[in-house]
Amino acid sequence: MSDLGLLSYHLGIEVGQYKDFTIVKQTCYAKKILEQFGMGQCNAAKFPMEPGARLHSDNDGQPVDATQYRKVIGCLRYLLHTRPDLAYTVRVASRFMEKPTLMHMQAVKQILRYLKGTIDLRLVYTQEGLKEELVGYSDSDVGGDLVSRRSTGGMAFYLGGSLITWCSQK
Amino acid sequence: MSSCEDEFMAATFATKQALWLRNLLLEITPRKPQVVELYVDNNSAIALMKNLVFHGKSKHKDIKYHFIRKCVEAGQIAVKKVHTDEQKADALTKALTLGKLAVMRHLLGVRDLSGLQD
Repeated sequence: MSDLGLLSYHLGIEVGQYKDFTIVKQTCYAKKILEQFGMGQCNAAKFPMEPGARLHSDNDGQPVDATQYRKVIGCLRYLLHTRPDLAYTVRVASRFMEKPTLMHMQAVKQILRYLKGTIDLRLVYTQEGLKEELVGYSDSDVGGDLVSRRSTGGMAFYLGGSLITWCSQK
Repeated sequence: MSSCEDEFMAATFATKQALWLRNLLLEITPRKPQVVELYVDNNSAIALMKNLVFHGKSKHKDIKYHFIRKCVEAGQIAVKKVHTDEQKADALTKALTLGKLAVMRHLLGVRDLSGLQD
């Protein structure tokens, strides 16, 4: 077995290891998603989802190709490994995979446009916090889901100031 | 369902994860057991996690959600108050406005270092 040196690329996730910090990113994968779904040349958006926008099941809406919709969601979910800022929006969009309509597809396109504008963002792990302690944050949004009236809970855990675990859950 | 109750349930879920992470860290690093700090932005939920006085009014809550109080008593978890503006889990529960999105993104450790030589 030969030594290939420091880890730099693994399953679509690019890793950069430097003296003071480590970065984890999926820029190439994000570009691939945008190309695959014909959004390579789209205009960038500032939000992944309009603040206050509430998606509902939209029973009377015009249905779209469910397979295509699920495909986009699947790709976006893999991207969440390095993009916790998208966790909530992708999670909301993935609630409508059973019967997606034009409204849901537009929400997904908004995410892709946001992705286009923030494609270079990456997770950074620094050595800022010298004290290696585990700190957690937990928050919830009451009745955020219009369909089931259930709440969305979120949590984030930091070890020595760097994010290690996060979750957004209904 | 009140927001207090809701925060309480979210915190219980976070507690389970916290204990798991704590044990994992004990296993893979040479360190002593530490108290995990858990930040919640709801005062009444914190009060509920810390003492039993409230119990009469919130009895209907399922017993499993009172798991967190046991953990607090055992000294495994320390619940602390954090202001909503510094609540780092905020971005995971709602769609944020532009200014807040940038702040929260930074707090989560998602940063733009594109100037960096790759």
